[in-house]
This record gives sequence, C-alpha cells and structure tokens, in this order.
Amino acid sequence: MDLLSNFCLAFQVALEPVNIFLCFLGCLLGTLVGVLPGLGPAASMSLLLPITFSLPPESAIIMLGGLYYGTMYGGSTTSILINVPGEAASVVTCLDGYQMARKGKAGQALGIAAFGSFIAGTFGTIMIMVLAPPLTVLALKFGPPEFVGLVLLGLTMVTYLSRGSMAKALMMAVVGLLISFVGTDLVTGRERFTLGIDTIAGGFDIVPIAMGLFGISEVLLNLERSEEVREVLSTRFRDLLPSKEDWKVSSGPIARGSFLGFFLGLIPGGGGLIASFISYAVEKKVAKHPETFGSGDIRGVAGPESANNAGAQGAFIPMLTMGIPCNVAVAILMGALMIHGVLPGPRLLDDYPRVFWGVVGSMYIGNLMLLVLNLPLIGMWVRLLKVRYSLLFPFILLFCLIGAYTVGSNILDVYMMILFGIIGYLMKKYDYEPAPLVMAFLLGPMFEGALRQSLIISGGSPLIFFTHPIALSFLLASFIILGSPLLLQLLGRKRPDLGEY
Amino acid sequence: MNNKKRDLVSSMIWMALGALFTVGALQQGLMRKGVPGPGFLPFLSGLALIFISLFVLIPALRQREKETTSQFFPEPDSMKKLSLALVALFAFCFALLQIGYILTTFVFILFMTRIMEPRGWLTSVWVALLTSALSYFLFSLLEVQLPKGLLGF
Repeated sequence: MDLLSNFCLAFQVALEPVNIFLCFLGCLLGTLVGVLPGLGPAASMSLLLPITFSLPPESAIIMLGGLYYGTMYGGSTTSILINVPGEAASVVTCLDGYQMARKGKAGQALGIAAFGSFIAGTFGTIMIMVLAPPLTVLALKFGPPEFVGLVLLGLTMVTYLSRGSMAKALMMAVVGLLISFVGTDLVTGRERFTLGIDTIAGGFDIVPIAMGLFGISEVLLNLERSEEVREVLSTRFRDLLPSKEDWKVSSGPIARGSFLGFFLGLIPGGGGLIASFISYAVEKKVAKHPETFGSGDIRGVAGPESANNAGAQGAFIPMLTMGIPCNVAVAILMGALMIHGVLPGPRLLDDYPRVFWGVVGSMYIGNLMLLVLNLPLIGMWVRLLKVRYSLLFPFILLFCLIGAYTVGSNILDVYMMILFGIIGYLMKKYDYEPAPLVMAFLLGPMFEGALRQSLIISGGSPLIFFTHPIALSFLLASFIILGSPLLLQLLGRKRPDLGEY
Repeated sequence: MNNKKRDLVSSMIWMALGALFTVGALQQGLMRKGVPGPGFLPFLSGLALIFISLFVLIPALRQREKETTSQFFPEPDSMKKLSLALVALFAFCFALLQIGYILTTFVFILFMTRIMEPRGWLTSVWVALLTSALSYFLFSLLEVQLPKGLLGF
C-alpha cells in the first residue's frame, strides 16, 4: 500500500459522519477534562470505556483518541490561566505560561499554545503516515539494554526538571519504583511486598494513585485557603492571535518541539509528559538569552506545548505497531482495541487497515476541531474557570470519586485514591513532587523487566550495558545529568532553578 | 522553602521506607546463578532511597534554625476545612454502597457546597439536586455501572 492510498483510506474513515461526531465529542470532553483539574486523561478515558463497547473499533479509538489530545489542549488553558496544570503534561506550561498571563499576555500564551499544538499535531499526523512502516522495524531493534538506558534517562529528565530539591524529586522517583514492585512478580509469579493483603496482590493501579496524588491532593491543598488567593487571570482575550514578533520567536521552538516531541513520544515511557519537559530544557539551552525563561518567555510555552501534542501523537505508534503502550492513556486505548478483538501489534497495519488509518485520519480532524474549540470558544472555558472554586471543587471531587470507582467497580480503589490524596497533600506540604513518583511507577515494570532481561542475556554481567553503544550513551547521559547538580547541592551551591510556580 | 524540621522528619520517613523495602527484598532473593531475582531491583532501589535521603537529611541537620518556619496550616480554620473534607470523602465511599449513588451524591454535594463556604440553603439544595440527577442521567446514558444501594436506586 502506498502513501496516497493510505492517505485516502485515512480520511475516508475519519470523515464518516459517525466518526466526525465521536471525534468532536471526544475532543470536547477532552478539553473539559483538561481544563478541570483533578481528572486526567486516563481516568476520564476509563470512564468512557464502557460506552465504546457498542461502537466499531475504529470509532471507539477515534473518540478516545480525541479525548486524549483534547486533554493536552485543555490542560494548557488551566496552566496558563490559573497556574494549575490540567493534567501532568501541562506542568511545564505553567512555568512561563502563567507568568505571561500575569503580565497581561494570557491571550498570546493561549494563542501560541493552541497554534503550536495544532502545527505540531498536523506534523505528527503526517509523520505517522510516512513513518509507520519503517518505524516498526527500527523499534524492534531496541533490546532490553536500550530500554533500561531509555527509562533511566527519562526518569533523570523528570527529576532534573522538577522544581525545588532534585534530591527530593529523585527520592520520589525511587519511591514510585518501589510502589510498582508491590504485587505479583511477573517473572516468578510470586507475590512481593504485599504483606498478605489480598487487594494489593495484583499491585497498585495507576488511576487511584494518579488521581489521588494529582487531583485529590490539589483540592485538599486549595481547601486550606480562603477564596481570594485563587485568581483567574483573564486580561485581554482580544489578542489571541500571536503577533508577528511572537511567531518569529516561536517558530523555532514550535518546529523543534514538534520534531522532538514526536520522536520522544515514540519511545516507550514517552508521550506528552517527557516531550514537554525535554522541549523546555532544550529551548532554554538553545536560547540566546535564557534568563527570561521562567518569567514569561513565550518560547517556554510554544516549545513544550507543541512537543506535548506531537508527543501524544507519537505515543500512538508503539502501541499500534508493537502493542507496547507508552503511557497509561495509550494503554487504555489499547485495552479498548483488545476488547473489540483487534490485536495491536505488527499485524495491525495489515489486518485492520481501517482501524489504523482511520485513527490517523481523525488525528488530523481532531486537531482541527481542537483549534476551534480552544480559541474562539476560549471564553466559555474561562467562564468555567471563573466559577468560584468553592462551587467547583465538589464536582472535581465527585468526578474523581466516580472515576476511581469505575476503574474496576471496586470501592477499594476509591479508598486508595483518597489515601494517596492524603499522601500527596503531605508530600506537597513537605516539598516533594508527585510527578516523578507517578512516572517511575508507570515505568517500573518495564524498567525492571528490561533490567532483568538484560542481565539474563549477559549471564549476570553488567558489562552488557557497556557493549551496547546506544544503551551506554543513554546511561552516560543520565549520570551526567544526575551527577553534577547533586554535587553542587552537596557543596551548598544551587543548580539553576527553573522558576517557581 | 527550606524547613529544617520538615526535611529532617520527611527524609527519615523515606529512609525508613527504603530500609523496609531493602530488608524485604533480601527475603525475596537477589540473585540466583547470575539471574536477578525478584528482590534484585527492589534491593537496589531501597538502598538508593536511603542513600539519596541523606542528601536531604544532612543539609537539614547542618542548617541552622534561623530560617522562619512557615505554619503548617496557613489559616486558622484550615484544619477544620481539611478534616471536614476528608470525613466527607470517606463517608461518600462508605455510603455509596449502602444508600446508592443518587442519594450519596446529593448529600455529598449538599454538604460540600454548604459547609465549606457558607451560602444559602436553597442554592446548595438546588445544586446538589441538579448534580445528582444530571450526573446519574449522564452516567446511565453512558451505561456506567453505579451502585444502587439498599433502597433500590
């Protein structure tokens, strides 16, 4: 099948009326979820999973996919306007986006975020169409040692980019790993660290943990203060269209972000989150005057926003071509496919071309819809945000409670979420970041599996990491990134702070 | 913000957690004939946690108390609001299976909107009513399974 016929098939499926409607619904809900803090893409996708049962597989994925990238768009809105990331991947946008809003440039920030995301999304869609077949081959060449290096690098980046103490962030990453070890060991089938408690024999589930640490804890933290501290910066929405100057400055970050984000999304463990973090770091590195980063530099919004969208699209590829989900949201998509009897993996392209290409086509349509939803309709979302928090938070809590419940129709998941909410609240009070923890928790099984496999292959010798050049370079990069700031910290000197938010 | 006491306490807690995992990992078996066992990575991770905690513990020990320690609860009734919220959350879980979704949601929303920030009874009741009804409708439409409770709805 050549590129043109793939292209045609893609839009043929995507433009069917049912699919257009579902795409729109997904995007709308996704933006809503992204805008409202507390519910993330994974949780909301699990909520909507049951209704996809009656739909044909490509329609199900189209809707859930729309939800997924919708949250990327919506998440930037809250990041910029109220300094609260709507979901994890928008964390970086808070750094400069919120600062821009404080300077009265909220419109430009939102505008460049939306346009950057759209451009990146389009880029991502084209890339998928072109690269899907050869990428399958390349990805298959990555062996266990490479995965180990990659995961380590990813975790390192997350801790490096955390605010505050890097030691604390690193600790949280390790804690996340430890939590992921609880449950049944995949290799031996034995239970580990479960203390004989039945409920956790299968390990902890990501949804209660993520919702608790990110959502519940945030609400608890906000409840402590009276209303006035939270303000929605809403100055001047007339300038949603970025100026020529803005475009000039942002074109580099958008281009880099799209490119970088897409390829980072391809990597297992990647997706929007890592893409946005790394894009921020890269832009800061590349910039002639990096001091403005952290205080309202548009490049700090353009780059990461493009990256996280491109990353979200790139994240589809390993799942569709190899059956390996990069992150929880994509894992849920995979689950949806399997429920429909469609097995993701190398056969998907050939056996179910409608599903594959239909999904790809609707990615583009979805991006278009989201541009419309996010710019002209921005007023609607702002009004939503302006609703007093004391009126808003009960709904956020309710959504979280129900969301956690619907994961497995198990009330224990909800208790778990509340527990992690308390833990997250305490963590934030004591200056520990939850993001590295969740990230490490997600990557834990993959990391451990790859590590053990590597050692099995090498017969127990750690030298395998030295004989595989790609793996070695990932590991070296990780150690360099980790090593120098820690050393500085010991000597009492601070590493460059990414700005507080 | 640096807070000596908090860093001391927290780093020690995490160290303890690391120690727990390290010890537990030993029981799981670290290596067998060159093949890493289930305890291998947990062992290393536990040790790593202990080690990295030192990077928080030692500076905290070295730090003089001169930094102003911020209050744990920023406002006088913070603790009250927080406890109320937590009670409500737990109560929700408990009640959900006993009295079903609609009632539980109604009471929950009512409680939250009325208690957390004083406003008229009427508004709160309206909001609670609308929320439970609409959300139930929405979820039914989506065919999401929600608990029925003893009263049958």
